[in-house]
Amino acid sequence: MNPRALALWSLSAVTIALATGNPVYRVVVLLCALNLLVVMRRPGTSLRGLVIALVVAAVIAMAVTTLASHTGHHVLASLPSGIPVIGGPLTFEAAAFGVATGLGIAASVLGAASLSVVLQPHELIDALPAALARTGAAVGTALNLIPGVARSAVEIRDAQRMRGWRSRRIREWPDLAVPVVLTALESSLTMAEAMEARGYGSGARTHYAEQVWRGGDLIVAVVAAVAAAVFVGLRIAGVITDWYPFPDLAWPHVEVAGVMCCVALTVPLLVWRR
Amino acid sequence: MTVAANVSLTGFRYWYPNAREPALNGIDLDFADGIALLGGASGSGKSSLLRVFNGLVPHFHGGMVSGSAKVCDHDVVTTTTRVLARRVGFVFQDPELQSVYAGVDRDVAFGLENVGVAATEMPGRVAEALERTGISHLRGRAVATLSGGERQRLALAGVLAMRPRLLVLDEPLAQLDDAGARALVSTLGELASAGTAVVVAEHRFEHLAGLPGRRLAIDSGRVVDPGERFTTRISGAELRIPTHAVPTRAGATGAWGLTDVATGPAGAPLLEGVSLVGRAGEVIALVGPNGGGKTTLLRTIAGLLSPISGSVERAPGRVAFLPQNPMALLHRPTVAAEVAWTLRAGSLGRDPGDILRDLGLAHLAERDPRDLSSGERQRAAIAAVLAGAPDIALLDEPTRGMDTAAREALCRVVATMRAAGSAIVIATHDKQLVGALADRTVAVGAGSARELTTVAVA
Amino acid sequence: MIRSLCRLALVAPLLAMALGAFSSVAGIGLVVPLCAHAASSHRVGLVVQHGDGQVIRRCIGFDGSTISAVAVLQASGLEIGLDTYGSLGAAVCQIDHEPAGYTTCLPASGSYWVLFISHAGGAWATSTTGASSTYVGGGDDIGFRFDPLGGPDPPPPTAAGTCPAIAPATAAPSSSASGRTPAPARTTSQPARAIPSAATGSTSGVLATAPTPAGTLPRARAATAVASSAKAQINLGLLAAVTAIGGLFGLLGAQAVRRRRR
Repeated sequence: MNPRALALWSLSAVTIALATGNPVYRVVVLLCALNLLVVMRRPGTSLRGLVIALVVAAVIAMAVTTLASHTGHHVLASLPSGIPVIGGPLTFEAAAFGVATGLGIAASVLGAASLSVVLQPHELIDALPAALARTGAAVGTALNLIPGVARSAVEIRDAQRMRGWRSRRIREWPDLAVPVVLTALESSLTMAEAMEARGYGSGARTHYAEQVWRGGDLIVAVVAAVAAAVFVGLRIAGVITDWYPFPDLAWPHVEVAGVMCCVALTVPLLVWRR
Repeated sequence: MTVAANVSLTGFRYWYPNAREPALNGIDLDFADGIALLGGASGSGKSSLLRVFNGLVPHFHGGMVSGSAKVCDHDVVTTTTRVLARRVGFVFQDPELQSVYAGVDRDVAFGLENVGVAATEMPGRVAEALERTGISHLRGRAVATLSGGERQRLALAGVLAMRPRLLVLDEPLAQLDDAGARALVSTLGELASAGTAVVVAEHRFEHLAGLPGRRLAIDSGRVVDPGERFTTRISGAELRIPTHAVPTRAGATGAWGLTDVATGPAGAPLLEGVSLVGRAGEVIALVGPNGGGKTTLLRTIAGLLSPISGSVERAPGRVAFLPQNPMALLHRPTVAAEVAWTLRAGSLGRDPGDILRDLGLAHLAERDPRDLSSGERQRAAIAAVLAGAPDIALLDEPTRGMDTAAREALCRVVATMRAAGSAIVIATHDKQLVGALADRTVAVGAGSARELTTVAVA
Repeated sequence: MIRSLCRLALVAPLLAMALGAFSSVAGIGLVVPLCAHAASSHRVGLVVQHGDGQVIRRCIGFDGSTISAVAVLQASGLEIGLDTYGSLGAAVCQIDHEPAGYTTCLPASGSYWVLFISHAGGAWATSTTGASSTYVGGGDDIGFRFDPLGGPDPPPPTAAGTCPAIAPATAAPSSSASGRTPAPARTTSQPARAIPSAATGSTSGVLATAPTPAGTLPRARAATAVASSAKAQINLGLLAAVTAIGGLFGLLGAQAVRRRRR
């Protein structure tokens, strides 16, 4: 699986999710992305946290929209108009619009999440274009240092506690923070020395080329790009319209071509295997 | 591959930036091939000398230089690190702070990328380097899953991929257990016999005893006659402590006890069925491989880690815990302030000077700990943690990276504490320390902790 | 070879976008419904009903195959006030000086302009999109009714007779061109010509000879065919969407089952 092909797919999914406010397309994109994540994620990663966070975000979006926007015909409840911002009728249309917004957030986040759930961090860094290779090495090094700093923070906390430190007052936190920061700085200096000893930072670099484009990768890249382009083209042409439920709620218009563009996002499941 | 390394230093002096005294004070050294073992106390200029070989001194660390230094026919001062990196490979002490990428193959290729080796050539050289260090079986693995010894050999592979003529290693065995150390040393032997020149600086000479080669020593920035520096046995007569195993004194009170304890760092049991008792005035040594559970056991006794099952008891009183990297704890402006902080935090009304004297740090009491040499810093950290005559003292790898003088100072402190009635537990690889101090020895590993009746002392 | 294929992959989206844009401009039916009489202009009927019941009718002609409700209003010559909501488009705040003055376009209480659409003489239906995002084709009608918020919206009187069918080839030139000429040809009696429509939403004539009284309009047969095919298209899209969603949920379920079995 080529990381750049996956990145292109991810971009297409996000583009389609955000191109219209129509919740039907967003649901299809969301389900395609979710399917891909479930099948292709790194063994050992759990999607539960992500899904819960997105559900919470969608609920918040719906609540905020319902409470703040008071347009629409079908009134669910009414708050006294005197209250600023949230006073007034709470309408079904606003709730529906909030749901569509939440779906958009969820669909685009799931589309983008593929880059972190499916790929290893260093695969993503490797996929950077050659111009950013040094940035990639620096970021990769930082990622390697983080677990060590985290572990040393725990050790330092335990050791200081044994010396008698108590985390009671804010004034005492420097006794923990200063050693951790200094340790992190010293680790990074040691790391820098090791990197310089291996010739880093001294001129033009080559790349340990592992970016292979196989047939499946090409198919995914082309299909994703075409799907996004056609969807956007149809949107611009007016065939696919935005969904604006105010002032009266009505079923959104759905075009077959649009649905097909969204369904095209499942192509990676056909050609890639985890 | 048998082109000579041709190290030649003449009257070489080096000052770190803003330093009054030179770290290297007139080095005259000629070295062409084979193995050279470099010994010396910390602060003697050992690390600085090693870094001259690959140009980190002066290019990375800055400072002033006088005299001449040539390595592999290049003048160190005028040649860039990029060029020198192709001739000289450097392996550092900490296995975790040398890998850049998360995949084994990728990390070995890091050096090749830096010097601009063509992409088509890289896979071959990566394979060759992994072969030479004997870790071809680790191909495709994630670096985070490797043990300390494997990571150190990975660092070595990363350096060998550049095909250097000279290999320099700065205390490479410090953080390894016996198995890891032996594997690395045998690799070094093979490399030397295949033609690469090797320079190793170490304190743990017990593993290097088998390697043939020159012995060098450095003291106060000058190369001196090796002489006594390569003997690391701690002589009991000099330290005035009993060197025989002391049977448990009748009537000694129990200080801590574990009853059928199962414990592990992340909720999964690493050790099971552990039943041990520690008594006042007794030193217990924990031995075993890295990752076997020594640190976990220490933390359980200290109360930092709750056991999964079973019970832990401690007699009331102060517990001191010396972690593996005590220098990380130092955050006060002076050594004395550091010790005073511990005493104050524990509400102990003792004089900071006591423990400083025991460790030979009385003359450094008002210095900033981070300005001291690494051996002095380690002793300062030990003083800071063990101040106040704790009732239970738990030490995790205390002699790691220590030179002989510091180890002797530590032995003195431990003996003093034992005489005062502390119950002491030391987790260590250091066999000489075990032989000099331990009353009892417990082998920790493979899921259990068993007391040993005899200990083989090297 | 791979590199050139990659470049081709990048060109394809640009091609698709170009095609989409071109077809929308030229009215060629790649992505938009075919207009049967592309050479002649199309007409829509506009019905505006004020709050007091007064009705204004206009017949607006236009080129191209579709026109937005806002454009119809603008071409009608009536006074209008619009407010734009960024990407959501424009809303109609005021038509023919009603309301006389306004601060917010869509007020929280009171009355506002409700937009209705009638496709090819069918019943009025409220629009699901804003006035600037609602498009109609020739032969459709647009209605605006000033209605209080809350409660149902009765539709305006039917647009029947606003725009009679255009006779092919002999169409009066006055009805072609820029579309600024409202020509209420209501009173001319013309034989009802059911012009067969090649595709949906085109200029199939729909009207009887004489203006019918306000009330439901008998549908011409062709209109029925047009209306039902238009509805069929909407249903097809929803059907496709529902199928896709069901299939994807099924896939997810299959994955969950497979994981549990492992």
